[in-house]
Amino acid sequence: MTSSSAVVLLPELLRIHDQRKRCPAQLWLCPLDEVTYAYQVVISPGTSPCFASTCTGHHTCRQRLQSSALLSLWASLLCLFQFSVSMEDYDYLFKIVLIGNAGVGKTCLVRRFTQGLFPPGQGATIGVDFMIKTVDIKGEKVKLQIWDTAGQERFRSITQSYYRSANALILTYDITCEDSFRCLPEWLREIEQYANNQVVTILVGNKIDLAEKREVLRQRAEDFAEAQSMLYLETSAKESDNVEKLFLDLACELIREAKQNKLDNNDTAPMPGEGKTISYLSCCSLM
Amino acid sequence: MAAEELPSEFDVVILGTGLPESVVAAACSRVGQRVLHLDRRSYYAANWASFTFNGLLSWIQQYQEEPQPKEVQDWSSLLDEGEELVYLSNPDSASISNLQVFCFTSEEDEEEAQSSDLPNPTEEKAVNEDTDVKPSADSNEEATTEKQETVGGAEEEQLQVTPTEGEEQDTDKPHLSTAQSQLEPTRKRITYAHLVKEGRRFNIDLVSKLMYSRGSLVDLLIKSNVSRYAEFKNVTRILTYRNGNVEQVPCSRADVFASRQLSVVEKRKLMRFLTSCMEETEEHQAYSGRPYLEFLCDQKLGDNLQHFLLHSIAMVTEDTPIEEGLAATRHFLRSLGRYGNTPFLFPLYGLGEIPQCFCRMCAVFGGIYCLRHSVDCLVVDKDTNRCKAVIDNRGQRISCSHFVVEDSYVGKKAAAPRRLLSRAVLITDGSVLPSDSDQQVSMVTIPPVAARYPVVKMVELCPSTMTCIPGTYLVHLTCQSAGSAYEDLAPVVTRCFHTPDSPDQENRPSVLWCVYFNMVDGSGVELEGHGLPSNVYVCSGLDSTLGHEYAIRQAELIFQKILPEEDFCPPAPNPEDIIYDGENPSTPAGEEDEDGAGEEGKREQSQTQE
Amino acid sequence: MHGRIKIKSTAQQEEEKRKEREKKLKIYVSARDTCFSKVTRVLLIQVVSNHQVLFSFLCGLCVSYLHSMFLLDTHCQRKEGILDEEALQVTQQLLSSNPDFATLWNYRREILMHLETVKEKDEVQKIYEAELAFLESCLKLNPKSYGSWHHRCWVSARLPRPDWSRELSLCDRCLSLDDRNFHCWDYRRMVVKVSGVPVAQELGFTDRLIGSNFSNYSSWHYRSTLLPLLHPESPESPSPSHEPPQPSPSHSPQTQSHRVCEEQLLKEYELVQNAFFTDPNDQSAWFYYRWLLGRAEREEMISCVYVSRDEERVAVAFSRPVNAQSVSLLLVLDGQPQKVEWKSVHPRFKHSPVCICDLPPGTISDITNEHNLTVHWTEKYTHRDCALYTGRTESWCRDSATDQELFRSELSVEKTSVLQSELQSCNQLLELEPLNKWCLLTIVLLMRALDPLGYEKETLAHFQTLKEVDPMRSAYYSDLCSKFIIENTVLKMEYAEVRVFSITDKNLTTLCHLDQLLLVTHINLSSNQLQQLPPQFAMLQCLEVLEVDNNRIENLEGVYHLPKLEEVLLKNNKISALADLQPLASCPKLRRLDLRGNPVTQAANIESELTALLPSVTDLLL
Repeated sequence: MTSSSAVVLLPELLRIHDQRKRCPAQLWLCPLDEVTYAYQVVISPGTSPCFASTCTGHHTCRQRLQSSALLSLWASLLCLFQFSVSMEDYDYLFKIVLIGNAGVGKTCLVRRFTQGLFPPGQGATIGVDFMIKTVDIKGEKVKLQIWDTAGQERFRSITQSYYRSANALILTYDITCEDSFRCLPEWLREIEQYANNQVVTILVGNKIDLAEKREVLRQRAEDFAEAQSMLYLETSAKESDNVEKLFLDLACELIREAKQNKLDNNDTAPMPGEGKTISYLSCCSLM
Repeated sequence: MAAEELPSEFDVVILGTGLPESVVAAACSRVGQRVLHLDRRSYYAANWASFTFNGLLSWIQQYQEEPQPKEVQDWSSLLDEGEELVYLSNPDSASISNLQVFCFTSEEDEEEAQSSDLPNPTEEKAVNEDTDVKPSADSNEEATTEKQETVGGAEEEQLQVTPTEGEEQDTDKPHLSTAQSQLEPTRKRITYAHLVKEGRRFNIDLVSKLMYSRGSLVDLLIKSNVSRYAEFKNVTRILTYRNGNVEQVPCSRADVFASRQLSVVEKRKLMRFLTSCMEETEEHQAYSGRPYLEFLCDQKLGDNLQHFLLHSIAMVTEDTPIEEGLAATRHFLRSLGRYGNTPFLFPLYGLGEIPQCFCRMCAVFGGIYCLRHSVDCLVVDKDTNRCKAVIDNRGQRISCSHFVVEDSYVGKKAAAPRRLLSRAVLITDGSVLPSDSDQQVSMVTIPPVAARYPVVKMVELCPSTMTCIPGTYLVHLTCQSAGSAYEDLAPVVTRCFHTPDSPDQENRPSVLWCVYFNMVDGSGVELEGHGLPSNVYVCSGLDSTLGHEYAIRQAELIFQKILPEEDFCPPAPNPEDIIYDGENPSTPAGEEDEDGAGEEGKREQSQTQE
Repeated sequence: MHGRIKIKSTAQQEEEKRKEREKKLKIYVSARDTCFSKVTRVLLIQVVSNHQVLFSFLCGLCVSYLHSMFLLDTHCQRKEGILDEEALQVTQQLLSSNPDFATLWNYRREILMHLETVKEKDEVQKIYEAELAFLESCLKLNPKSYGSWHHRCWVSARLPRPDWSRELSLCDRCLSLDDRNFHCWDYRRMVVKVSGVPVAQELGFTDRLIGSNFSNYSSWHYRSTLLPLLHPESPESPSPSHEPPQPSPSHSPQTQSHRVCEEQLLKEYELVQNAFFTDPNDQSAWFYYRWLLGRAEREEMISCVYVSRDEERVAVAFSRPVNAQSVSLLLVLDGQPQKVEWKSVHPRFKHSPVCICDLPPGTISDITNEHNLTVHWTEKYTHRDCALYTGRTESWCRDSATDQELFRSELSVEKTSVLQSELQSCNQLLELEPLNKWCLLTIVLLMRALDPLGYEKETLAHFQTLKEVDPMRSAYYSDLCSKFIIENTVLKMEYAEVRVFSITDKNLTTLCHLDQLLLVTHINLSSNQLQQLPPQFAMLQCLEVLEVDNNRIENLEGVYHLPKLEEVLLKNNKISALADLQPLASCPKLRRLDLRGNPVTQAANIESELTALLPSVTDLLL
């Protein structure tokens, strides 16, 4: 989208922030010298590499190697493997944002999906910024970051920044509450105003377990969703109906879009040293 | 979006969602205070807000309308024994003044405009003459500047006569540009209609600031984890206006290396100077109390470097003392290279995002948010002179132990004459210094254009900052007021851009639309006092500096007064490290858990710790 | 407080991380075992028939055998047709946690090569594309992994339809993260070479990298290989616009001249000056500057032919060292090709700038005959004549060597005006940075190139400063200074047309350019800091008197087979053993030797032993 280059964060910041995420040590096994085939094993805890052990051998006369030397190399290799395990292993990271009137069950949807719980504990959302669940879609690990409104919708005071850089929006209403459905156009206006153009939006009618109290007919919602070119799904967080499906469908759709985007714009293809975070912008984040 | 009743008991009530207020809100909420955060406006961030183009137009309209004198309601019925009411002053529009709008682009779409305008260009011109004294033979600079005064005057008058008829004013404007578009028919112009249509893609800041990479705002964002809510772009270059040209200021090592304006000897001198001034030397002490400029002169750096160092790197004036100049230079240099080749960052979608990020943080920790909601008066205990509660504009009594308020609510009580900032926002069709990349974010320092003019700071934002549409640039100009915003900044605009007032500068970018206004510089306002109870704190508005140091320091001071024992914005927990009810913290769900009891015990412990 | 979140304690987090790690280790180990059990299985089949394997197997599962195990494995599996995708998967699992496991990469290559033979082209393409994607994740883990880069190189080369632009952009992204990742540089060079990226574009690429950070040897070096291709010096070369886009092997920098046209050179001077004025302590720019200044090579020629009637010996000096045994030299004496054996002056070198040969006895010994001698250097199509007139005992033919030819080869620009202005700007920098060693050194080199004798005083002063500001390298500066003093002395000697060479009391630490002293008969190196007379000293074929009093000489290796040497004055040196004097025994005419003040004189029986060793010496001073 933009031609300017992405800003690379300085490692010092990464250290401040990701101290725990960084692997405690890195294993490097590198032939130091093409001629002598001297190998060096270095454990580097944090930044300053400390030398662990060195063995030398010759490539062409492997057979004549001192087996003890190689054995010790091998042993040091084995005991070091555990350090080289990376903690960051996902192929995609998506930010999904929930919106909709207060009380339609947004938090329940998230907690049902991420923790399999209903109803969520009292006040559990305090201090919780977003929930994370990593799902497997056709062999690709997809990390979903699911953001809740933090209660700001209660007095219609959601910050615009909440919508920024979301990959998908879940617009939720309560099928037993006509009012929550009637507010949808208002929410759509906010989406149009603040969200990214490429955002994937899905309309969700929640609480189908209370079918006897239904106020919004399915057909009506489907028509509305179609008119706004949104996906539509009815769920029950309580009965766990369609909750998995909701998020997995979204993840599939997002992967599809991401791949499309990648094809369209070769520059955004992920490269070594970068996560496959799907951001439409090249910019720096302080995290 | 049903409106509920607000709870009526809080620890801290905060009125106004500007940056310092929002930081205080986040900090209080983070350490467990019950926070109610209100703003009478329908948008976040008060005078720190960013608007879409259409949003800005309605904001302008609102300020151009006569402020409706609000009836003061009598809430004394809500008082208990020993209490009295202190009314907050009516938040007037005094914080914004001298608002003037100019549109220099055609109203209609290109084709339509041309087809309708081409047949009768002479008539259009005739109309022009009425509203705009068009300079006819202004090939030399002086003639232009002289005429500008009269031009500006005419415009201003017109605006004052018809302040609400923005529409009519706009219909006048196309004539200017159609006359222009005939001068250079090849340049594809963006029309006013296009700006309005794409208006939602603009994010126009009311304040213009940048974030120092090692400034207190960036540090706070990182420390508190609020940074996760926003993304940032580097300011890619520092420019300066000098001898009628815009030049790039080499400030990083790579810049110095690549600079074409500097001789190799100058390069060496500059690098030497920058390296040497990072540490206090005896030489610096020898100049103690004398102007920084004098010190620079004695370094025999030459005019080029002196200009760069004084105006663009230290960004101080000619009479700034050396201590201050060196401190500013060091601040600049320390921030350099942390995220890129300049010391500055700019948040995507504009500066208005930053207060909102802190508000989100506050909300995540239980803060309650309510826009379009205000506080009418304070309930003060007569004996202790402390604010016990506030009464909102709906007559609800909300008790609180601390009250933080934006300074515009106490405006009348601040006796001291206020300083003003002059601001201009322009939408232009090109960069002031075109380069290989059209995605440059530039900071431009403009020394006084003439003797009594102020130093102007200009920030030019490209579309990739998500603040304007492709094909345009958003330009912010800021200075301390000497006169009205128009008087202060129009001379700079006509020098740096192609406007109807400077028709000879066709190689410069054209201004499509612009607004001038003055804002109150609140940097002198005291936190407390103002005849208010002791647990009421006033957040002053903006200050004229480029960074956010003032606002953050203020927020921290207020926080320390409210909660002297608490940590200021400790990091928010990583969502991955949070233990949820019923979830086992260390083993994945479904797996056998042998030491469940132990975990339970731990959880209880952590609960009691809370 | 109610409703507050609970956060995992650090210990809990650590525990979780530890468990996660353990889990991964478990997976890793089991994958590894799967890998090796396949090997073992096959090994057992093979073990009986292969003694070597049996032996080492019994030696206790020696790990050094893993390589051969794998080779065996693939060998057998291919025979049995059981090479499978499973192996690919297992190795992938292993490599994704440790991309530096070279053995596994090899194993993978074996498998892939096998798959190549059995699969359709499209399928192969897919497999290799998957391989590239996998490699990216490995590089993410360790961007400096030898194994991953090498494998990527291998895969790219085998990919049926390679996407080079993608590879280039990968390199660019990688380099933007770390512009000194030499693995990536190597890989990029390969990609550029194979995909035929225009040289001009590559130069633009270095422009960009240098612009963002000029402290980068790789970029400067790359530039130095590109410039001669894009702006070759010779006027008959095609202009840059006609340069063929693909750098074919014949255009590779190695085979081309390293010279760059003057116009471009001036631009480069400007660029690099910007760099070292911005940061004079950055070496990379200075090194590039040195490269720019010193790009001329000396013409290959025979610089001198010397013939001596007494010894019936011919000595030939070349402009560069040659291998005496293999150099194609043809000696023609009075029109008759002679069969002679060329040898170097000292057995220690094969390569030497001076070769000697002995003529068949009696060919020129008659002093009344005149002889005409020609030495042909057949491979270089060059030759040199020399006439030995009647009544003369020796004769030589050589160019009247000027300083231009002799020593300026290392810094040579055609126009002295260019050098002059470079010197000026360096002096400008020195004024601002009087203690900058790089600047001082470059000034010295420029002065040498401009007027070595004229700037002699300044040069010596600069060397003094250099030794003070950079004491760690003072020995290097001493050697360099010695070299320059010798060069100057050679020049002075040339101008004076004498065969006496004298440098006394100048703190010489090393000897060089001894090939220039082929004709010198009398050398005086007294009162210096010399520690040895190196083997090169044997090139002084005409030397009669050697004075090296008051040095620190421990070793006389170079005083070897000097046919005319008569006097050796070694007063006050550090010769401590009789064996050190051994080389002198090879000089047939030696008659006077001064060893006073050497430790060796303290040895018992020294006099008698010396007489035995050097019977020709009649005048021995102890």
